[in-house]
Amino acid sequence: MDQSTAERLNILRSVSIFTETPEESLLDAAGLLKKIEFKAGQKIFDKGDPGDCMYIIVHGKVKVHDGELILNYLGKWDVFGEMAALDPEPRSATVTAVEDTYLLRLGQADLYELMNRRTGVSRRIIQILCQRLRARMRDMVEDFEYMQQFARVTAAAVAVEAGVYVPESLNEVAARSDELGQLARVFQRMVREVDTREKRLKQQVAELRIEIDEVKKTRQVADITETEYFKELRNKARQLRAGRSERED
Amino acid sequence: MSKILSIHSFRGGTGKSNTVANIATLLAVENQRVGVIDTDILSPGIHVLFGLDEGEMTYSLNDYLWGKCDITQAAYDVTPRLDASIPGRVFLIPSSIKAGEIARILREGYDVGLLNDGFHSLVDRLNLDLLIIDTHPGLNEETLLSIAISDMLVIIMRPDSQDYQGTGVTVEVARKLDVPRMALIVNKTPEVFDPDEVKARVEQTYHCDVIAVLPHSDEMMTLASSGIFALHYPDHPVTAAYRQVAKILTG
Repeated sequence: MDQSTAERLNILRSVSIFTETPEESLLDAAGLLKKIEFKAGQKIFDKGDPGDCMYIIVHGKVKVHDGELILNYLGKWDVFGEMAALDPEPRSATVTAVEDTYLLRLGQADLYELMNRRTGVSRRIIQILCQRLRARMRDMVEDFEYMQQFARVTAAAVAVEAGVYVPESLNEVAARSDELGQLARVFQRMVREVDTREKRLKQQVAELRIEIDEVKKTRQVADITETEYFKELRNKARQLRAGRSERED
Repeated sequence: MSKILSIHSFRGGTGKSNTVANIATLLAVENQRVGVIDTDILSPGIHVLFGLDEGEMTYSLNDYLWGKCDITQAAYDVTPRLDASIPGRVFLIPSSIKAGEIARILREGYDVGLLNDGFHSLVDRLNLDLLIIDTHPGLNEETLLSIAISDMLVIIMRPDSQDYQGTGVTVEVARKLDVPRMALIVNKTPEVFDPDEVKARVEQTYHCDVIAVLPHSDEMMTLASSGIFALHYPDHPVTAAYRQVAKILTG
């Protein structure tokens, strides 16, 4: 095994679709890899180009971008374009070398050929696709929950305006550790502070009005104290108290 | 010290029964013997707070007054249900638990002399330091009677415009009944109020001492009628305020 093959084997072992591939299969794959070099600034492929191969970075650095928008930087031993090698579709982003970069290229026909010969490679590829599908479904569920919880914050804002806001409606969102959770907590606190301030203002007015309608009170007291029952009760209570204090003396 | 204390509020929902239960319990913690008469017969009773089931209460104060039972049969020692380590005693005396008897009280009323003797013999027989009467809201004849034969009246009110007028009437009526001591407790005070200011303003309005300004407590709301707040939250500011009230009442 020459040095270049040994290096290629090492690189292939680090690529997810080959991690569980036995050495002899890897040797097969290593033979199929084509070495390509790009100068810094050189485009590797453009968004929309037909894609039919995957790349492994041996050294250097590339950026994945869509015009000015940079989506990702990739470096040594990173793989890109592997989906296109399995299922040809136009490239979804542009990849440009940002340093002088040395890549290994595996074409679709070679990969298919390898999959025919080595069922282990096919199995591993199916596994990886399943894992990605599961992860994507998890993401979708999370995204859906996120959107639902985000809608609760919006609903809370509408409720505040309508005067029907219930602070507890945001408890679940506020328990999140991400930025949405922080938004919900800040929202709850702000509404509480504004509410307290409003109440304080209202109650300052109420405080000044600890007033009693004296005319009404006099009438209400008289309604009770002018009754025969009350007069009798008062006299008896006086006698009882006097009797008791005499006994105690 | 006052032997017979009526705790009253003009309107319902002031937290009267909770206050009575907590003060009675804290006094028992301080090795006092306390009787609690529940005359608030028409609303959910204080017995729930003391963990006493209606089925366990065979006799009531009325049975004793009408000579149907001994006072010890109408007084239920609820202390072990609260906390076995409490050195004092809390006795609960339900005023009446049977619908027919409630009707008879409402029809005939209590006799003032009989009730007075009853209360004093309760104090003597159970060797009580304090007898607290949890009165019925409003100012009906039974409530007036309880107030008339009490040594002290404590009126509980909320800082709420609906309580101001009724409390004014109650204070005035109690003065005409020559109750020897009278004090106010302001309960369920929203946090936005300054307690000292509330105390000053209420005292100035009613010319009557305010012995506590208790805050509105979410914890208490949560605990609701399922237990004694002071035992669940011994270090809570509300409990400290109850303790202060208990001290004043027996001082």
